[in-house]
Amino acid sequence: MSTKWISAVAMVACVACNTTYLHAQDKKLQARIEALEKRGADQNARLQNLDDIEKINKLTRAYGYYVDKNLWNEVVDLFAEDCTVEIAARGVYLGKKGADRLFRGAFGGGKIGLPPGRLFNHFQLQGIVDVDPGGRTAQGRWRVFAQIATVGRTAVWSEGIYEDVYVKEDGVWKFKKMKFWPTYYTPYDEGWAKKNLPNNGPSNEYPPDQPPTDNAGVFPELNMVPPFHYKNPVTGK
Amino acid sequence: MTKQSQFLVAGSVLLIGSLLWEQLAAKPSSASNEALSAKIADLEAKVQTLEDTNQIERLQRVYGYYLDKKLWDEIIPLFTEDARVEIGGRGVYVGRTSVGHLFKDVMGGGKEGLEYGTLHNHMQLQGIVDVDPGGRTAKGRWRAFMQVAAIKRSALWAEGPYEIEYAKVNGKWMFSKMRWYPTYYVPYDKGWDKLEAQTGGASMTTNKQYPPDQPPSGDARPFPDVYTPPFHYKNPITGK
Repeated sequence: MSTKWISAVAMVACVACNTTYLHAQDKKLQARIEALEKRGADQNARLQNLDDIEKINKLTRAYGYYVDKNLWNEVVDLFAEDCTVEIAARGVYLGKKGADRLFRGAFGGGKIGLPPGRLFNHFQLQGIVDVDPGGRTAQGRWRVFAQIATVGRTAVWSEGIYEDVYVKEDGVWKFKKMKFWPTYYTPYDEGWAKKNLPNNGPSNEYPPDQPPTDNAGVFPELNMVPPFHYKNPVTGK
Repeated sequence: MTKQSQFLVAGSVLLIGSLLWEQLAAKPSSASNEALSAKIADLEAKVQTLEDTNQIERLQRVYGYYLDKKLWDEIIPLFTEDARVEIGGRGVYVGRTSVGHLFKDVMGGGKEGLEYGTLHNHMQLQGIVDVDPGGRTAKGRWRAFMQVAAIKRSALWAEGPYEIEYAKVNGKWMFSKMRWYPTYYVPYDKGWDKLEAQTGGASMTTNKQYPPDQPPSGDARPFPDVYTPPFHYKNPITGK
């Protein structure tokens, strides 16, 4: 074989080798990028969950500050169109219109804003928020600690449990279902041992769409345990 | 052209072609590289906001535990040099030196630490923290629920919201503006329904010895008056 041919074969072999080598390197790089993309997507999902929880915390706390001052228009805006609201033994109110009837009507007597001489503090505390798989709905348990008064007439301590369902619509978390079980209503002067007030029944003027779903009794008559939306975090039962 | 140079030309074309092919083949990789960088930047921004929120919540709760025990020397460094603080009706204190007088001298009577027979519980609850775009400042709404007492002399429930501004200075979140609005001050043995409930006392008057830098805003009177402290945030659904 002539030198010419040897050098030609060597050159072609060299090119083929180089191409194969680079191709293999490329494949490796591509695989690494794909693995990184997968890790990025996993981290993004975990972060999204934390971000959703934070937004739901804010929604629930914002609700509390609005209720404090009877800003019922702001409160009703926090609910989804097809919401369900049930507070104590007042019955079930359906849809945003129902929520408006309950909050502005039954609670506010048709008025927005807390008048002088009244107190309506509703602390929103101890939230447990769980976002459902898929990130479109979530559930939360909260407690309210309330101080309610009309100067010269009444002063009451109250406490109870919310179980809420939230829905994400157009990227915004809203209340989809709210149910509240009161634990007690106790006149300030007398305290828990001496006197406890009963639940308010359904409003005549602003009636609910459906009757109460359970007998949400209050201290001391019935010590109901509002169902937990979550399992025991340790046993999973 | 000799045969040899023909081979050389053909060989060079092949070599250059293979290098070009490598460049072209690398193109999709560099595009996904850019996309990946953008995704990571997005993740980093989200993590930063959550981390900032968490640090601010911690600051606020740390403040509450110090306040419980009147640890003024711990509280004062939590404020920026140019902080503005207004608590109840005591007036506006501007700058860390003035803020120090408000806490240690006006509220603490010049003494560090809670004395025997006194109670000064200030629970920090229901925080809504929003980090501003840019991540250098933030705003928060909180409520304080208080039990304040001097044994055999007085016992008081008090409650009210804070609106707060925070600033990140040298990587640490601090209070740059604090305002606390009283909802009520109520003697334990009377309760909210009695007219004598409105007993802000010293909390609703300016101190003579350590006067504020600016007079009280004067808009927020406690129960039985009603005042709605402005919200730093829009309604989270309507955005209004």
